[in-house]
Amino acid sequence: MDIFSPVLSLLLSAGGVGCLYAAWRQKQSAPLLIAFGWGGLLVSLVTWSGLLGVEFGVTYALIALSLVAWLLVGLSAGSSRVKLKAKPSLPLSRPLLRTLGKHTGLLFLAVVLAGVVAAFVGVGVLRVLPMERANTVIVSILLFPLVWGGLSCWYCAAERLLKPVLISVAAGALGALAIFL
Amino acid sequence: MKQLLSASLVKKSLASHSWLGLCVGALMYLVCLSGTLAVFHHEWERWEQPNIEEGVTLASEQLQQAYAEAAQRMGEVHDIVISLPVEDNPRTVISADGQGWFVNADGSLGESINHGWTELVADLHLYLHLPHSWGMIVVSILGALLCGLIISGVLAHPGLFRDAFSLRADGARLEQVDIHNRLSVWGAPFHLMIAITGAFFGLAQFTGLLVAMAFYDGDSEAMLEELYGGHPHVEQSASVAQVSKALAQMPQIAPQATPFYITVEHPGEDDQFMLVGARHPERLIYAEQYRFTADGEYIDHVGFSDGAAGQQFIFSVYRIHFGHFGGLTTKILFLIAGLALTIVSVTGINIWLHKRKHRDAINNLWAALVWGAPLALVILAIVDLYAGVASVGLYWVLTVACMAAAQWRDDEVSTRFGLQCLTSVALVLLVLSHGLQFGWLTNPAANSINLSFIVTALLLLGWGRFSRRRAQGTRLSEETVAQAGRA
Repeated sequence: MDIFSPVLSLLLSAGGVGCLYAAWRQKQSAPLLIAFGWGGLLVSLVTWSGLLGVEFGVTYALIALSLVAWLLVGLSAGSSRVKLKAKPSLPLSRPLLRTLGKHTGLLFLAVVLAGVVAAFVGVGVLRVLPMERANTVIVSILLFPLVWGGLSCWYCAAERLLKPVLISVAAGALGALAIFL
Repeated sequence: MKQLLSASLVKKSLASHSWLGLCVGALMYLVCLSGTLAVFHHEWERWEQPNIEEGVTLASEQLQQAYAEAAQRMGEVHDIVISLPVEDNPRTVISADGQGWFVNADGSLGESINHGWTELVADLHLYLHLPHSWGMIVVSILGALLCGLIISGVLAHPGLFRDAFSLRADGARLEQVDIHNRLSVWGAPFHLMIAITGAFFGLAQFTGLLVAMAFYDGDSEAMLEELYGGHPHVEQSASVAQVSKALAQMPQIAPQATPFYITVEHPGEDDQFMLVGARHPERLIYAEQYRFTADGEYIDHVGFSDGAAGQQFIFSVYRIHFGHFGGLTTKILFLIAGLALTIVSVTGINIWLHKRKHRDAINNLWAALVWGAPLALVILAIVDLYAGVASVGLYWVLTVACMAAAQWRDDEVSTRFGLQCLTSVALVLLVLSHGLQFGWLTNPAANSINLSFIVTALLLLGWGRFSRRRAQGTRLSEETVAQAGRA
């Protein structure tokens, strides 16, 4: 069999997830199966890439991992029936003005402030890194949604907003300094 | 994982995940649903106009003749695009500024392009039917917030490995939780890729401004030139670009590449030039662009295939996001993965609804939005077949009508079942209408779509009946519990 054949790649992906599944089903810990599982998936990355080129190969390896795992999840579904208490039907309650204000404020922070800070931080950090210019542009554009999303999480998770807001605004200001100076 | 994350962090992450999810759940659902459909947009186009001649490779003179006629008809436009036949869209089309024609085998211009329904779906995905400049930004922000949801979702899930394959099909909250978690955890690499590339389309312009300030002394033009290639300096006299001459040279210039479009920039003007877009094997880049003068003299290539990694990536985003590589297999894989993300959006809100101690209008409206959106799209397709109109207004009127009916009925289980049945019936009607209008067997794409509509209708009906029966079972349990309580 050709080492970079689609069958082998598919088998490695399926085998890798299969080992993880087998480890999951065992009541005791199964480090060997887990190691084989992740190892198989790593090798499948190589074989998919050898078969289709690195760009297509990595994409196919990741999608194959998801599909095989979902298939196994479906196969292992356990059926049971719960008895629920009937829920009372209520008219839609109007939110309190204070609650509405709090959520609007949080939305502003998670969307607008996080976006602005992410843009300045993302570009500012790359300003000080030695990279080819065209690559810097793309890395900053790719980092942007990740930093934005991360900041949104942070704001939404915080019990007191002052700390994350102050820290991120300071980081954004440093990024702005790096950009404009 | 349990040792790594403190209980407090998990709790806060879960709160953050819930809050963000509730904020964007409905919009995310519409974007994911329409995006899943948009993976097949070439096939939808072929389904909308199934009687166009396919698989015809035009001779050089005929292509030149078609271009000359189209350029004359179009008048003054910024650019003209000639789409050459490819595997998933084997038709020659010449278009500019929203108008365009298919090219017949003899080189004459044929039927006008009319892809109203496909454009409606694409507009929902790209702009949520908002004005384009705003809509693109809103959708891209959803991409950034999806990154946030993925991060908070992972942090909120201490039993990531413990529950890796568990699915408790109890017909209630735990089932929704498990479906949500299993689809999102195992699909995380795909979802992250979709989120980042999705955010790129609308937000690149904003980061681009900052990048230009940081690295190009504020000169955005210089940045765009470096990334996309600037306008070449051309001296020429030709008034009609020699598209065939340029295309004929491609086997010598790039023998491994397959040309699939030609763009004539500034047609008829002194500075006009041509870009021949060609696909390279085993590469994710959308195309390498080969530049020619209007006289058909080769200038250079832009460098998407061999330039800086960043430049190569920027021209790969489209194909990665929409799964337009690797043919039909990849599209089917993207359909499955896209459906998974759509289901994640729905189950996220369902979990929240299950958690509440009461039910209200939100339960009704959510069921109507989830099951009304596909119904509205199918009805729009039928209307478009008969009236040639795929109206955004009508789409939203239908969606709102579904919501109003659901609120009037005040029972999300029967609303869901009713909308599923209506969608099944509408799908069958759509196939019948299409067959009556265009014939029962047309091109392979249209035939496959019609067949998939029938299969979807049957699956939907089967699933609807199954889930209603299950819900009624739960209701019986509820009554039993109530009786037991009274006793």
